Amino acid sequence: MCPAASGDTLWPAQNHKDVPPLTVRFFSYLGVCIALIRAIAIPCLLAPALAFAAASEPKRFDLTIANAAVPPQQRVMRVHKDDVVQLRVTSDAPGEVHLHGYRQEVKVVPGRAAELTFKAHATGRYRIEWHPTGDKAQKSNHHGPALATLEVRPR
Amino acid sequence: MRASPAKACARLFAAALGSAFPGAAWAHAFGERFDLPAPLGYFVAGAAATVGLSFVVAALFMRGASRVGQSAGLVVRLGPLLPVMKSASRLLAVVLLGMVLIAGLVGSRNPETNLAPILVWIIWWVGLSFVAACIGNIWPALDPWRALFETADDLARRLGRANGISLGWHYPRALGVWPAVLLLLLFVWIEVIYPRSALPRQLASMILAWSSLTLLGMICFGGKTWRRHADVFSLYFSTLGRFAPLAAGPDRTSIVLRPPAVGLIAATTNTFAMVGFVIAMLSTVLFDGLLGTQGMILARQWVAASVPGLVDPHGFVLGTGGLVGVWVLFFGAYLLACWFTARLVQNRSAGAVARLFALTLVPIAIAYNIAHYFSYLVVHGQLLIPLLSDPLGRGWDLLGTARYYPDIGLIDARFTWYLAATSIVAGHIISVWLAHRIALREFGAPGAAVLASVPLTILMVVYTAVSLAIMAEPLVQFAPAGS
Repeated sequence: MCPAASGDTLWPAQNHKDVPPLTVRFFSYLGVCIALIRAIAIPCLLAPALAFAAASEPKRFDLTIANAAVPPQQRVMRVHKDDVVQLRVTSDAPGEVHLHGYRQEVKVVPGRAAELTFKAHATGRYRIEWHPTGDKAQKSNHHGPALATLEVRPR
Repeated sequence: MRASPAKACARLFAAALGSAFPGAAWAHAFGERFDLPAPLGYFVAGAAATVGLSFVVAALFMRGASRVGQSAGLVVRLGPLLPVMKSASRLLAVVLLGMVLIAGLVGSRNPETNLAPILVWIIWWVGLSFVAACIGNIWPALDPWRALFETADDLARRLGRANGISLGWHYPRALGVWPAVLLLLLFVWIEVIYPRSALPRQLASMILAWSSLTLLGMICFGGKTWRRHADVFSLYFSTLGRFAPLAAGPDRTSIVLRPPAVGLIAATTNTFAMVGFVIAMLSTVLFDGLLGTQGMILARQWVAASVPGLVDPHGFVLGTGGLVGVWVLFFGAYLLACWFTARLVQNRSAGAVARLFALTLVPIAIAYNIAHYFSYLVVHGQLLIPLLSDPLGRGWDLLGTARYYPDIGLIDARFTWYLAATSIVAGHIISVWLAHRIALREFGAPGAAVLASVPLTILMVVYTAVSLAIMAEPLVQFAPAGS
């Protein structure tokens, strides 16, 4: 069961002088661990990175707000880092569209499309919220449902 | 028209993400930026490394890496500097507590521009956990309630009361640290379920309530007894601090530098309640991660469809059930693994084995914390910068930083994924390593020890896989809109 008795083990435990100190072993194992993850993860990461050329065309999205909501297919916007994003917002009621995190906002009045253009410089998921005119209350720290979500992926 | 299952799935997700549930709030108070789920590659890589490295550790122990000697660490003498620093930080802690209460009670009502929620939920609860785990537990020097109690206690002693201000009530032994376990679950419930946890007024009231409770507790049972059994924060930070490379020294003027994690294998006897506490440290972070996943939204939808009575607008019933449920599940899985180990080694009860290995789970808890909260700390922690110039919301600009706004691009999603996967796998490996060390100390021969730690290793692989899965919930392609 225990092969340590033979002299050809990695670190013969029978001779305590030959055993590297605990700290050294500890960190060498950590090193092995990190190296292994790199070896496995990096090829997985490079593939998508190579698949994208530089962004040139702005990514255009429509937000058609009716009854404080947008159609299901408009609820998630996927872009990649450093894409230029162009939102075209129309609404059946006056109010403001806020993009949290990016601190972008645009006022909307019924019957006229409003545009919002910005560069998606930071990765993550961000909420796009609808604040109808006259609704200022902040009753809790959990926001209401988002109008839509902007997902910015790394390249 | 042919709809692929993936597209149908995507539509379901999209609908769930939309307006189906008013209470479908994301975990955590500050809703500016949320982490992206990691691509599947990270999960596969992390899981493979987890399983593979577990075997490597086992093999190393089989080969007889059997020197179990405790390294005492290096004692660093700081002379009179340390007591002075301690006194200064205690004063700072009391001042900060006062400022948090003032800001909370009369400052801005917006959580993002008020010192109280930022300092409590981000800098203290998340930031100090990282410091306690990765550097050393500095909470004893920063605990304002301890500072207040000990100052009053000292004063009373000097005025001639032999017992200070403590009433010296007998703490019921049977309770153990169960009060702290309950308080930790309650605290996390407030953090992730209670919808008003970050609102300054509510937060200040809660801090006042906790201040009264903890000061009363220390007066009734004595400072040390209270802090060791019921003071959830002292116990939480000191448990994390056992992992840290720096620890308190043998006397008041020194600290100890030691290899990380060795503080977790010191031969202390844990109570069964301590097992519950460590499991809660693990399960609560995992549950918080779970809350933000789309799987959770689907689960909510499913419950709403089958048992409508369980759904309330705030998600209290489901949230509370989930929080306690994950804890019970993790506890049960741990006890099951310990029962198998007890069967393998024969001369121990499952309970004894559970107590023996409880602290080996701490590195996994720390890893969950880093994986889950690091980007939150880095991005949302920046909200403190404007508040440094205007802590009480009076329109001051003391340091010229009052107009600073957090840089949301400070760390990239790819960095977060890499850090999360690495820390989860590294935490797992350290836990497996600790379990082997303890098994070797308790059960003797390398072969027997490795065999005895097999059930625990399998359990740790499961814990790790679960947390990787939450981090990398499979990406589902939504129907692209626009363009």
